[in-house]
Formats: sequence, structure tokens, C-alpha cells
Amino acid sequence: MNGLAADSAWLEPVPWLPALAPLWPLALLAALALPPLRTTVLGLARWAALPALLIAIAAPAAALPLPGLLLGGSLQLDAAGRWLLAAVGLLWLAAGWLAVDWLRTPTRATAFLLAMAGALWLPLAGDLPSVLAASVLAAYPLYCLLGGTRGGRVLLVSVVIADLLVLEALLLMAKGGAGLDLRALQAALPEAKGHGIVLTLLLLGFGAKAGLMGLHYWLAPATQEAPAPQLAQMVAFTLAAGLLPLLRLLPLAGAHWPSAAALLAWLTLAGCLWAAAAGLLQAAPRALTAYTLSALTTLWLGLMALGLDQPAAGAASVPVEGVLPAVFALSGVGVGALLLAGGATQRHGRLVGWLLALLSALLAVLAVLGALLVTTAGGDAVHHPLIGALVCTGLLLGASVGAAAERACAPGSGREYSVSAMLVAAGLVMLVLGLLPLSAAPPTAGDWPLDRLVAPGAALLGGFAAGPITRRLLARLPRIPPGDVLVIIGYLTARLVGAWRRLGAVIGGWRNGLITAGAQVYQRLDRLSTPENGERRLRRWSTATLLLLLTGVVLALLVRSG
Amino acid sequence: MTPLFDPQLPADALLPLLVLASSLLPGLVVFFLGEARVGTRTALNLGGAFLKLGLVGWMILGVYHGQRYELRMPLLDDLDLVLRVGALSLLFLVLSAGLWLVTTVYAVGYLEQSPHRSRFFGFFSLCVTATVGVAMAGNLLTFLLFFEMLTLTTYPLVVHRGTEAARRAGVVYLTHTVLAGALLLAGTVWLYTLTGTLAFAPRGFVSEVASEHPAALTAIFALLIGGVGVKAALVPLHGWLPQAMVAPAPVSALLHAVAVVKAGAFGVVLIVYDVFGIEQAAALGVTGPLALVAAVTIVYGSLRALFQDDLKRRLAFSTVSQVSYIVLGVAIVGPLASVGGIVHLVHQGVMKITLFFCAGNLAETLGIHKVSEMNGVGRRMPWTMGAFTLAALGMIGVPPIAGFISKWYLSLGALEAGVHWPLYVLIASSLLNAAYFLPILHAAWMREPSGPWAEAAARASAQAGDGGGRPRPETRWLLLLPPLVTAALSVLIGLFASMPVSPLEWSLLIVEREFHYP
Repeated sequence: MNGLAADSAWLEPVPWLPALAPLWPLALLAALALPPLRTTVLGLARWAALPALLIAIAAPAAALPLPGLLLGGSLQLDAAGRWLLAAVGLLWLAAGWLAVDWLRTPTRATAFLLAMAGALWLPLAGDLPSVLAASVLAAYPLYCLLGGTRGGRVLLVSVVIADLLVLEALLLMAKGGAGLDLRALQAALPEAKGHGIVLTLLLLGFGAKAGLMGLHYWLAPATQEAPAPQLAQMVAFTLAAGLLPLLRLLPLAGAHWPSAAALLAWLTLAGCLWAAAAGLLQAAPRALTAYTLSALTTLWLGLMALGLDQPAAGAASVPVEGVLPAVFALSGVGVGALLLAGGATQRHGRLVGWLLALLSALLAVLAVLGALLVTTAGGDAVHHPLIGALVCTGLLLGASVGAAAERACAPGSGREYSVSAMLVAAGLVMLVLGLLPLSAAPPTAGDWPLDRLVAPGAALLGGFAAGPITRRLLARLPRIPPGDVLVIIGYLTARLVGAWRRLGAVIGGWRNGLITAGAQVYQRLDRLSTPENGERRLRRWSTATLLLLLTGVVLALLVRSG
Repeated sequence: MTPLFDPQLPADALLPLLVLASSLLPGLVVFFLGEARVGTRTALNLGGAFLKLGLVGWMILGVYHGQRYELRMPLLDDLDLVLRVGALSLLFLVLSAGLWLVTTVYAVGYLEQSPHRSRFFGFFSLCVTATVGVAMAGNLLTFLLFFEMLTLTTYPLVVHRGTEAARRAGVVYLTHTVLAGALLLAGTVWLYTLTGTLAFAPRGFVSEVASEHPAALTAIFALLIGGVGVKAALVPLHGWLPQAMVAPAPVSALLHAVAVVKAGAFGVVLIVYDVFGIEQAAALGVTGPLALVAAVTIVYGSLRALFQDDLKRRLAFSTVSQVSYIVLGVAIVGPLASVGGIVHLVHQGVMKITLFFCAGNLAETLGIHKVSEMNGVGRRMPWTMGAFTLAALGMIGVPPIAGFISKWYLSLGALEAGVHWPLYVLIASSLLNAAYFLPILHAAWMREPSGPWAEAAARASAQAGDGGGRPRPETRWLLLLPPLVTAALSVLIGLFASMPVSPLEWSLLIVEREFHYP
């Protein structure tokens, strides 16, 4: 990817080129408002991510300061952004391909183009307010595209809460004078006052968008209920709005937080175990794949945790920041393809279905294996829990392949199958492009201690092989609803709202009672003609004399005291 | 005979007077026009609005380059009527002049077939005259005069419909605002007896007597804030605002976004900065209680909004909550919080006027008054609901819409000032805003159309045999354009907040030039 872009020197005089990626869908959206252009735009909308993909492949690295934007923004196309832009572009192209019949109405096209603009802005955003804005632009229309389903509603609530958490983290950082630029924030985080709180807020905020286990409640219901085009969009959203900002903000090369790294590693294990338990008991194959995605994002968090412990392990040469974007991108494309692999028609045959699902998962497996190169850098405190997490992820990947292959023989449009194949092919091309620079200077055993790769590799592949069998073995157990504890959260929320309403009714009753009582007192006073009676009483000589005397006494006291 | 003002004055000094006259004179003429003179009335209203905007635009250039416009007219022995335009007053002027123009366009469309249009537009213009007078007031007396003029000119607008509910709301409105006027008058007179001056000054004008009369100054602060707090709808003085929702939509828009509520909030800013001075106010210990009142108002308003089914009442309680952001920004005592408060004066105005325009469109076109009647309305009126959606998201504080910028500066200002609790208030408020706005958006966009309007639309399309297509445009252009313009503005002033002469940059300029933080 980077190698190809390095040759594109002829594009260098155009520093604003990356801006075209999010602006092109917005330009189409503007054209949609003009009735004569509407039909053309509806046709073009499906392919609106193509410029972004071309930019990811061919445009040189660029940084474009935009001081007038928000609180002073910028756009940047760096190595990490390029991988993610390519993956997001591909997934959106897949979504557009699938949306050929579905994108007929201007309302849907509007939401589609807005969400696409946000998703393509995210890999290029150079500052955190821009990330937040782009994430909003991607998430809210995505909710519209999900058609108000339960998963969509949970996504919306998750995004609102997540944005507030990220905002609070950003405020705490900005208070320390860290600036708003992502690089500046990343550099400032290790030294920031209360960095533990900031780190927690960032993990919770972006983790919710990434579908991290424990914050994953929207992903499985939304995936199960979504029409086919939205599957690829949701995967793109988890990558660009959840994982990438974390990657850009966590200090993966400069911090030495062994305790945080160990804690995150154990949390990763717990999350992956949870994902495996809940995922393998899902009724719908799509929900199972959603849990696989959640397990993968949780695993990526664990791998990022290794970055927090790098100096301790003494392996600073391992390029955590360099490898992880490629890993995210490839696994995202793989999971996207896996989600769509179940759409083959009968004519493709069971074998082809199996093959496609296997290839899709293979991309994700290759990505994980690539990431394992990074794990070799970590200390044992981090390494051991991650082995367990790898087994769980492998189980889920294997089970998803089995489920997708079974579903491949169900009636479908056939287009999902083609798109899945396209995604797999594109992912493999990305993989090759990513590996090209290595051919010039192959790594040696000294660079990457490959002997430490054996145990995690075996854990992942073993889990993968056991996945389909485990799923069949668990087939008789009762199923868990997608989103698992979401059921409990929903129940508790409903009870809370009900209690609040009842409280409101009680307080309202009291208030009305008070108002009624006040009105009754006023009416009584009115009936007694108090003002008239009072006035009459004041006019009596006795009252007037008494008041005069009283005034005299008060005046005398005031004079004495003064 | 003393001339009204010095004939040797430079022409620039007359600009404030021209700004006043640009709405006063058309307003007075409009009163005498017949109902049928639609063209003349519209030309006068729009001509005045454009002229005012042009004059204000001219003054922006001057003030940006350091010029101040001031006009003095003798009123009492040693008290002048002073009109002064600096950076702060210009911000409020731009808001009033800009939104008056769009509200006039909207009102022309809204009241196309209504009776008493001359009376309406006459008072409408006088109301804006009073508002710009409040904005340009150079001393407390001038402020008081225009503030009271605002009360008197808005009352006929509140009761314009002449229904029993409108008259009741008018009584509530008048009771509250006259009481507020009395408090303000008492505070002003008391302050004058102590200080011998009422002229606004960058660090206030009470510092010389502060050491002698701290208790009296605290009481005066309470009286003045009580006076402006009624119009700013601070809890527990907010009761008139939800009641006043019986007024026509352009009046609601005017009350909430341009004139009354904003004049109250602007009054709080003036009292804290130009009467007491922020340092003196902090030293007297009055900013803490003010911040507390603002915080209570923010949360209370949002909680009440949550359970309103009437759309305009929900928006009214939202105003109660949102306007106190301005008060909170002022009361936190810090430059960044002040920027947040002041910029919210504009941001809230633009977003809230959009919401009221949209509510008016729904009521006028489909007869929708309640949130529970809004199911599927996004399909019938996509442009209106698109504008509503943007403004509602802005109110929640979603980036890149304007509300995000205000909340960012308010929160950062609180942290800068070393107080964390306003941050939690703002977060709670944002969550509550989301809780009462998002269900509206969900109902409008995601649910199937239902309710009387949907049945009527289905019957109409069945009779016409047109397959149920919606009419184009979805409502009259004069009703549709204003919310689209203000919604676009809400996005643009947020997205390009750091551009020169944006409301944010102007607020930074105000704090730098006029607030003199230590």
C-alpha cells in the first residue's frame, strides 16, 4: 500500500487531494437536491467511495491544516489512515454494490451519502473534534439506514454516551494544554494529569463504537436486523470510528504502563471468553459473526495493550503502530466478506459456499497471525492471557465459517455472494501490497522472534478448527438473544423510566393539590372581602391612633439607638 | 432649548440611531396601513430589516477595526440616554437584525390569511426596536427603558390570537414581566443612590462603593438579576415562558431566539460585566449562587421538557434550560467560560429559531401540535424535519453543529476555572437533551405515518389518485426557506467556528477587548 503510493510523486502538488474522499459524497448529496440531476446522482451514489479507494492507493502522504474548521482542524493521510481508508472505501463500495435496488429514494441516498462522507472523513481526520464530527456524520445516518430497528436505537444511544465520554476525555486533556491534534494528544497522554481516567474514558467511548465486548450491545442486534448493504457499513464504522481513533490516541510507542497493559490483557481474555460464550449460543449466523467481530476488536485492544508495555519488554523495534492498521483493515474486510458470504444461491453449491466463507475467515486469520508478530514483543504478563483470547477468537471465527457456509445454500439474491468474493479478492490484493515492502528487506529472526509465534498461532488455528464442531455440539442448548445483557439493561431502563414517570405523577399530584389549596384560600379571602374590611378597619379612629402610637414608639427607639 | 443631540457629531455616531429607526419608523407606518396593503407592508418590513442588517454589517467592520459608536441624548439632569455599540452589543445586534429578517419573511408567510396583520407587524417592529435598544444601551437607565418597552411591545404579540388561552397567557406574561420591571427599577434606583452613576464600564462602576456597602450591593445584584432573570426564564421565575406558547409561531420564535429571553440573558451579562465588573461580582460572592441558579435551571428545564407532549411546550422548557447556559458561562468566572456563554447567545438563537419555525410549519401545514402526532412526519415534510433534525442535534451538542462549540467552551471554561461540577451539569443536560429530542426524530423519521394528518393525507391522495405522493413544495416557500436558512447557519457557524468574524471568534474578541480578565 505505502510502496505504491510512494511512486505517485505527480500527485504531490495537490495537498488537498485527500479531502476529496469525504467531499465527493457530499458533492453528490448537494447535486441530489437538484431535480434534473437526481437520477444521475442516484446511480452514482453507489460508487461514491471509489475516489476514496483510489486516494488510499495512489495519493502521497499529505497533511492539510484547516485552521477555520471547528476548533482548528486538519486532514492527514498517513500510513495508518491509508490502510483504514482503503478498507472503509472497499466496504462502502461493497455496500453500494449491494444497494443497487435499495438506493432508489432520495431519502435513503441522503443518509447513505452522509454516512459514507463521515466514514471516509474518519481515517483522514487529524484532530479529535474532527474525529467526533466525522463519527457523528457516520453514525446518525447509519442509524437512519438501519431503519429504526432495536439495534439501530441501541447504536444511537451508545454513540451519544460514547461521544460524551470522549468529549470529557478530550476536555481533561485540553485543560492540560495538550492541544487537539491527534499526534499532540497521543504524545501528551502519558504525562497528562489523571491519565488513567483519560485512558478509561477513551477506551469506553471509542470501545462502544468499536463493538468492544462489554460495550458491544448494539452490534449483534443491528447486524441481525440490518439489510445486506448495512452489514459492510457497520464493519467500516467499527474500524474507522472505534479502532482507528484508539490506535491514534493510545501511546503505543512511548508509554511504560505495565499495570495498564496487564489489566487490558486480562480484560481482553474476559471479553473474548464472553464473546465465545454468547456468540456460540446465537441462533442467527449473522449475530454469531457480529460476536466474532466483537471478539476481534477486543483482541485488537489486547494487542494495543502490548504497545503500552513495549519498553519493558525491550523490543521497541516491533512496529506496533505500523502493523496494527494493516491488521485492522484486513480483518475488517475479512469479517465484512464473511458476513456477506451467506448470500449465495443454490446454483453456487455448498462447496463454493464453504470455500468463500473459509477464504473470508482466512483473511481475518491472516490478520490475526500478522498481529501475533506484535504479540511476540510483549512480556509474559500480557502474553498468557492473550493466548486464551486467541483460542476464543479462533473458535468464533471457525464457527462463523461453518454458519456462513450452511447458510450459503439458503435462497438469496446471489449478489451478496459476488460482493463477498470481491471483498476477499480485494483483501488479498491489499495483503500482497502490504507485504511488498518486506520483499525488499525480509525480516530476520532477530527482528521478530518467530519461535514465540508457535504457541499463539497454534491456539488460534486450534480454536478455528474446533469452532464448527463446538457450534454443533452446543446446538441443543438454549439460545441467547443478540446483545445478551442488553435484555437486562433494557428491562432495567424501562423500569427506571416507569418509576420516574410515576414519581412525576405523584409530584404533579402534590403540585396540583398545592395550587388547588392556594386557589381555595384565595377564594375564601376574596369572599371575606379582606381588602375592603381591612381598609374599613384602618379608617377607624382607634386603629389609626394605635398605629400612630406604634409608629411613634418605633421612631423613638430608632432615634435612641441612632 | 437643548438640542436632542450635538449637531457637530460625526455621521458615524448617528448609526445607532439609524439602527433603531430602521425598525421603529416602518413599524409606526405599518400601524396605519390597511389590512389589504400586503405589498406595502411587506416592502416596509423587509426594507427595514435589510437596512438594519446593512447598517449592522457596516458597524461590524468599524468595531472590528477598533471603532466604537456612541450617541448621547439628554434625558434627565445628569443621566443621558446613551446608545453605544461595542463588540458585545454588536454580537447581540447581529443576532437580532439577522434573525429579525428571517422571522419577518416567516411571519409574512405564516400570517398570509390572518386578521390584524398591520397590528401584528407594527408591534413586531417595535419589539425589535426595543431589542436593539437593549443591545445598544450604554447605561442602566437606557437599558431599563428599552427593557420595559420590550415588555409592552411583546404583550400584544403574545395575545395576538385573542383567544381565552391567549389572554390568560398574556396576563401571566404581563404579571411576570411587570414584576421584573419593578425589581429592575428598584435595583437601578438604589444603585444610583449609592454610586451616582449608571454608565456601563468595562470593569463595572461599583468598585468605589463596594467596600462600604457590600450587603447593599449584594441586595442590588439580587434585585437586578431578579429583574432580568424573569425574562431569561431562570427557575423559579420561568413560569411565563411555557404559557406564552399560545402565541403564533413567529412570536414564539421571536420570544425564544431574538427578543425577550435573549434580552434577559444579555441583561445578566451586562449586570455581571458592565455594572458590577466580574472581579467585583466574584469578590461579593454573588457569582456562585448565580451559577447554582443557572445549573438548577439547566437541569430542571431539561427534566420538564422530557415529559411534555405539546411540541412547543417541550421547546419552551428546552429554552428555559438552554438560555441558562449563557448565565452559567458568565457565572463560572473565567475567560473561556465567558466565551462559551456569549457565543451560546448566538448559537442557541439560531438553533432555537429553527426549531420554532419547524414547529410552526408542522402546525400550519398538518395541524400537528403534539410530539405524539409526529409519527412519520419526516416522510411528508422532509425539508422541515431535516432542518428540525439539524437544530435538535445542535441543541444536544453534537459536533459539528453550533451547540457543540458552546458546550466545549463552557466545559473547558469550568475546568479552567477549577470547578468541575458545571461539567457534570452540562453532561447531564446533554443526555437529557438527547432524551427529549431523539425520540422526536425517531418518531418523525422511523415510524409509520399515523394520526389525523396522515389519514387526511391518505384520503386526499386516494381521491386524487396520485399514489400518495407528497405535494411539492411540502409547504409554502415563505415558511420553508427561513428554517432551511437558519438550519444551514447552525451547521456553518459550528463547522467553521474558527473562521474570522464567526460568532466564536467574535466572542473571543469580546472577552479579550471588553471583559478585562486579570
